[in-house]
Amino acid sequence: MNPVSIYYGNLFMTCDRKGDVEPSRQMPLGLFFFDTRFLSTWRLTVNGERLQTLSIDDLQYFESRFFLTPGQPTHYVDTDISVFRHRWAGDAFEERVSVQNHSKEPMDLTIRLDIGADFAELLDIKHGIQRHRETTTTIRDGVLTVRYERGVFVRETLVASSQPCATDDDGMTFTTRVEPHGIWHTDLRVTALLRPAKPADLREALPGHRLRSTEQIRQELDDWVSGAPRLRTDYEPLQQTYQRSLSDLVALRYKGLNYREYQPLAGMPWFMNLFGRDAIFSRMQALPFLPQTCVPALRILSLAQGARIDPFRGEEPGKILQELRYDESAAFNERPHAILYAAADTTPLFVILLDEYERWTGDTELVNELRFEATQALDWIDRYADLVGNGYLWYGPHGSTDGTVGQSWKCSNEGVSFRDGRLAGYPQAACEIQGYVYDAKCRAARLARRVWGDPEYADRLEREAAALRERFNRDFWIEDRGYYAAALQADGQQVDSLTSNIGHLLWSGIVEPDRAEAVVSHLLGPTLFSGWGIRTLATTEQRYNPIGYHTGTVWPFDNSIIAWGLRRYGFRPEAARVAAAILGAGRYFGGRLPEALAGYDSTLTKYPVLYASAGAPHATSAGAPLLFLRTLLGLEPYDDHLVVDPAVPEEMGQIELHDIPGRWGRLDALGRGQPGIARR
Amino acid sequence: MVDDIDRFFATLGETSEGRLPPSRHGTIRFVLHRNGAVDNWLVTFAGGGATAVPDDRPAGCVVNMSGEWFENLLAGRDHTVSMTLRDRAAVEGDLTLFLTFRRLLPPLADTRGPLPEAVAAHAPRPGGGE
Repeated sequence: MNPVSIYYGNLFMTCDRKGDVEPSRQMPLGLFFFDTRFLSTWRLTVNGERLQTLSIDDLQYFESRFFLTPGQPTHYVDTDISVFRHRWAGDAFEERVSVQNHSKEPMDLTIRLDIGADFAELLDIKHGIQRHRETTTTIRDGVLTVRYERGVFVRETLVASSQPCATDDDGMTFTTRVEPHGIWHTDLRVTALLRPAKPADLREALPGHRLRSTEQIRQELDDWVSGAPRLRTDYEPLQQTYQRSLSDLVALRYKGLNYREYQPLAGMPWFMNLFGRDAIFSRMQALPFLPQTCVPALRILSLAQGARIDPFRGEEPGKILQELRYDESAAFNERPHAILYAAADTTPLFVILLDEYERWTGDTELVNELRFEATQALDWIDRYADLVGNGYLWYGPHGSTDGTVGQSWKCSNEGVSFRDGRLAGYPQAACEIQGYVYDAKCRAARLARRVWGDPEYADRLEREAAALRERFNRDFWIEDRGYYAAALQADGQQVDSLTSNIGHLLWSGIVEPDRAEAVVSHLLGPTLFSGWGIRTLATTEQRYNPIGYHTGTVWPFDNSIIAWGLRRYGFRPEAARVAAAILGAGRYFGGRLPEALAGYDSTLTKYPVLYASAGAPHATSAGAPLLFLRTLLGLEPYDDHLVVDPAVPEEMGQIELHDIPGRWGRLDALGRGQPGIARR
Repeated sequence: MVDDIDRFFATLGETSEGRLPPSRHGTIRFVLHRNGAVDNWLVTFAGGGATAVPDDRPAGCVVNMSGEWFENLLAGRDHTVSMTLRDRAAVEGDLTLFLTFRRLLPPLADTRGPLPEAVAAHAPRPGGGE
């Protein structure tokens, strides 16, 4: 089954091709809100018959339409009835069910909607965990309410119809006569309540109460996207993915419990919540295009910064969160993800984003506002993260929400291994995180000197960064292989597998220039470069698996950071090659890059193979084309100027980007394809 | 009798120094239900720290909870966000002030749950609807 999804913020509905939801404990089918399933059954029948799909209009991310007819495909050509289901996600889930009589005779119809809510947690469904929850159903003023209670924890689903119906515990039945060539319809509204105490909630449940219209939601999207630079290019894969990426990044935001600013979501369907790493990377990728979306992300990460020492959630003062979820397990501290701090890289990345944001926007006000949090983040690196006491950022294993233990972006249990296949132990110092720390300290020094007026702190940070760089290049470099170890073990042993992580080191600037050539030759060599992009793990390594989550797949986000790093070290043709590979792969997905691609060589598969459980849209995959565009045009802010230094391959033709926002106001950039781009 | 809660608020002026972002300003009022009585503590954030006084004036954020659950919070047995999610802490107003307040709690915690939930112990919700 290829499910159909719509979403608005963190409310999403995923159903089968008929528009129905059947109870499922394995698939994320149903209506979800704040990580909880508020509808697990939503099934429409007409005169007792299931419906068949004629077509589906996937109108936009929050709206879809199903054209159906009762009965089996073998005889639906003879049917006299059409059924339309037009639905949209907004402040609530709403659906208009219309039934049309095409015959010359009046029709007596029984239209039945089966309704159920199991209040399952999204993460339980992801991991195949089943829990039974006792629910109660009540019917008041025609509104069907399914309620789940555990102590004072209450979740409710309210379903209301504009047309009168017979409501029972399991659904609604409409009995109606439809005149010849007539049409009947009802408007349904499903409201998911987290705190169903207020009397207003019942009124809100009724379809007469106006919520934001689809036009208003569309306008919101348009307003955001229209503020982004305009792209004109001959290179069709880029043009196609550009609008799609902007729209997805704008759509993948939600308002948390406080209903204020929009926070970034990580991706459909499993990650419709705030993830620190994904939020930071996606905002960084989108900075030249949607700079204003950085502000709420930086603010929420600051607000939720670690304050106590709490081993259960990996919290330490100054640490930046990994993720934030709202389900029952979180509410009762059965799992730690009400705020979870099981990521070691988010803290330096937070500082990096703050600096990158200021470089583009000149918004020193925010940098001053968040000085305390940035300083705390840097203090965390020195005070809490050096578990071994040798000047690196280490992490131990941590039980995360999905059973993974790692704290780097390759957090899955096989994510960090030796060449011979042995898994790396803990504590572990991932190479790319040392790069992030180096970069964070260099950037914080810049902020300290230019914005915070604290040159002594800047000097100290620069000294620390320089010492880290020297130490790192001594301890991580594998001389006889010509690349950096993926990680160190506490005894100093190098985790010697060849991974894409070394590309992040280029981005951070920690690589000694005379070693860059060797690193790049590995990244673009046949064991890491598949033709569709750079693999997470080289084909020569024992744990290589082209369909392993972090052990051989190709991640668009990973590649976009690597391409940026290649540019930093002057490897312009190589950066363009990586960009072209991923953008080319995007063509096969309508411009919407999935979370990850299989690592098969492009000579083996003539099209990029989707990683089995890859979600889409995915924020950092939507951000990837934007960062590639920045890389191709060589956009870099220097003081109040935007430097444009394009390195566009000939086959891409011309790329024009108009009205790039920044501290300079708005400027245009132009890049023309060149035969043979020079390195520099 | 001075208990942990009273002591926490009474010494907040000293213990909070330098623990809050200086940019954070605002007021948060705790309405604590204990033994049939209601205590109001008004906490004011300013200058990188906070002060608390017994006062029932309006505040940017009002948190209704039982004294017992506030003690759990102080002792590090529970977490502000999870308590908010299950309505043990009924927050009205600007939730960000409650999140900022986390920084003022004693540093050591282990919030692995669940704690036994005594339904009778929870505070009535403001605005009714119980």
